[in-house]
Amino acid sequence: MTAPVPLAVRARDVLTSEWTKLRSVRSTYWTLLVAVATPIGISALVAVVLSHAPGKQTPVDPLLPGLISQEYAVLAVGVLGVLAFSTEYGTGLIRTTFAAVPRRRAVLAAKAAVIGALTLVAGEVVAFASFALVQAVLSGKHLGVSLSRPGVPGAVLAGGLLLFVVATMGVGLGSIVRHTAGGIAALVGLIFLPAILGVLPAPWGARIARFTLLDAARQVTALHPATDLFAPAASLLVLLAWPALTLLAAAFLITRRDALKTFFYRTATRSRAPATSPASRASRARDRPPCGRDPASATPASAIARRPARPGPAPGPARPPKRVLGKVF
Amino acid sequence: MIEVDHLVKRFGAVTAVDGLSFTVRPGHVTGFLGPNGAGKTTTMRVILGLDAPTSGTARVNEKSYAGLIRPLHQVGALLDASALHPGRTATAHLASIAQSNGIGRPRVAEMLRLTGLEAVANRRLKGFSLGMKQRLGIAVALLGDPPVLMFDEPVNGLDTEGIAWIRQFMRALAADGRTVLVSSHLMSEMAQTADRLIVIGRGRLIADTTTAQLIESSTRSDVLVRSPRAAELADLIKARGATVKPEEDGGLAVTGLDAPAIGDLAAEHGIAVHALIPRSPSLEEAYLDLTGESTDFRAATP
Repeated sequence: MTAPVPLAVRARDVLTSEWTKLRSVRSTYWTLLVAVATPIGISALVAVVLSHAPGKQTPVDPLLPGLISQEYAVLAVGVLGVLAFSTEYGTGLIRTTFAAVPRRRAVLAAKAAVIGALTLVAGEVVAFASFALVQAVLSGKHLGVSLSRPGVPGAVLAGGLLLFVVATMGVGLGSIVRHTAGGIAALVGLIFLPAILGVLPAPWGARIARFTLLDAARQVTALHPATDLFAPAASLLVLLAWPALTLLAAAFLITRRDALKTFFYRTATRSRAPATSPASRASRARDRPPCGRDPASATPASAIARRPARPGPAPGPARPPKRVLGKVF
Repeated sequence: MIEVDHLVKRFGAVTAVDGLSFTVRPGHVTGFLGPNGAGKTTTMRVILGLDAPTSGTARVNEKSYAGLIRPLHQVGALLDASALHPGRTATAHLASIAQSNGIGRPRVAEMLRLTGLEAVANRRLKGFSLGMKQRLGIAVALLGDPPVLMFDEPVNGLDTEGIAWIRQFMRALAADGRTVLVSSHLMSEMAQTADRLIVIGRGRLIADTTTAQLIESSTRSDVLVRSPRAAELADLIKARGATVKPEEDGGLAVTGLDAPAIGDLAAEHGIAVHALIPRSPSLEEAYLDLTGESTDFRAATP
């Protein structure tokens, strides 16, 4: 065999591979375009609205328009993250991927890393561009803040984290759910459902809100943090815990499931206890009746056996009548 | 070399592979034969570490697949040719897989040339025909120049020219000293490609033999005899303990006595023989003899 390959080289290989995958599909460019253009546009709009507000009062927080506008980009980068795995599961490409890299957690880490890096850059671009735009509009009305003011650079920098957090969380969810629509639904649910609970009457609203992703992000970037939520430092931990826990769950599951998404797979997971030794798994399997050979219960086996090689039109009378077209024309 | 040892794979109540053991050696094209649902694809997935076996082991070059580093240099596989991202180009698809195993761009270009995909290298895969996807899948399998190759139904969707190409291709790979395992449910295809056959049905091993032996051992081997004194000759043959089945056109189908023996017997008794034809079944018939039992059973299941 060839000389052992250093870990760093193997890591670079998988990262390069995932980077090639990411930049060779159009969805990456579309989602990124939406993720960057939408918040910059919206923040400019919000700034204009605020600067024309009657009463000439300072907005709640001069940094808020920049962040709120990013919340509209959440879905776009979330989709980008989910797609990383869900398209591979959907097409079956994941088998090629895992056959090429049997260490599946390396694939998960590489996907999270390249998408995380890309969205971190995009997020910071958006954060600073929005900031510059908003302050340019607000300063005309003497409402803006300068980047040199203490606390502002850190807050703007932290504001760039939101897209990164959501995208890497999407990678984890895509790997767990293995389905595009399901993954996006899970992402939307995890981000927005807790936020809805945040409007419950005090003290419950704030007690829930301090753990939600969006409120944590606002707290991290706010120049004047809300007093009923966690402090910015703790909120930063909350913010990063969301993708971290999702990716941990994904890492746990990814080696424990077959790289296969079929009906049979699902029945298999339901009847198998998690994380058992091969020996105990085998003995439990032996206890089960050998359904495959029992004529009374052989339907599943015979169902596979009779499955046609390729889907095609049913022969004979089952074929739909062709005359319909003739009538139309 | 591929070694499968007492492999069992269950999906819930469904047993896809049921105590399967076999060894695939280098230097031959080994056919992996069985009806749809026999467990061929599942077995290949377990060999590639994609599905975890319920029990038993599958090893490639004396190692478990999961422990391989840069596995494409040791095992190349074509499982499902349609498993690709439709928006990616052929080059990007190949390159992304090559990079994960430290394989460079020149090799990617070489594989595209070898599989005749150079002209469409920068086209998006959604426009590819199944035949082109099969070729691309073969390019993926060959990226790392591996000593072990597995192809799951590689001729599906190929035209006559493509089938001839892949057949000759697999033979060349085996002649190179590589281990080549090709699954198929088409006996005629295997008859022309494989030297050795592993036949499975319902997840169990039915036969592990050479293609020639499988055909020879079939119960359908017989000798067709035509004679103007057929009835007389039939009695003589029966007296030697062989079985005679009269055919509709007056010929005799003889099993249990070979052609020279029948000829000698006829000469001894001065009986003229007009035809003496040893008949061997097609691989397809031999295969049906082997799997007939389970096929019949399956057909009877409601």
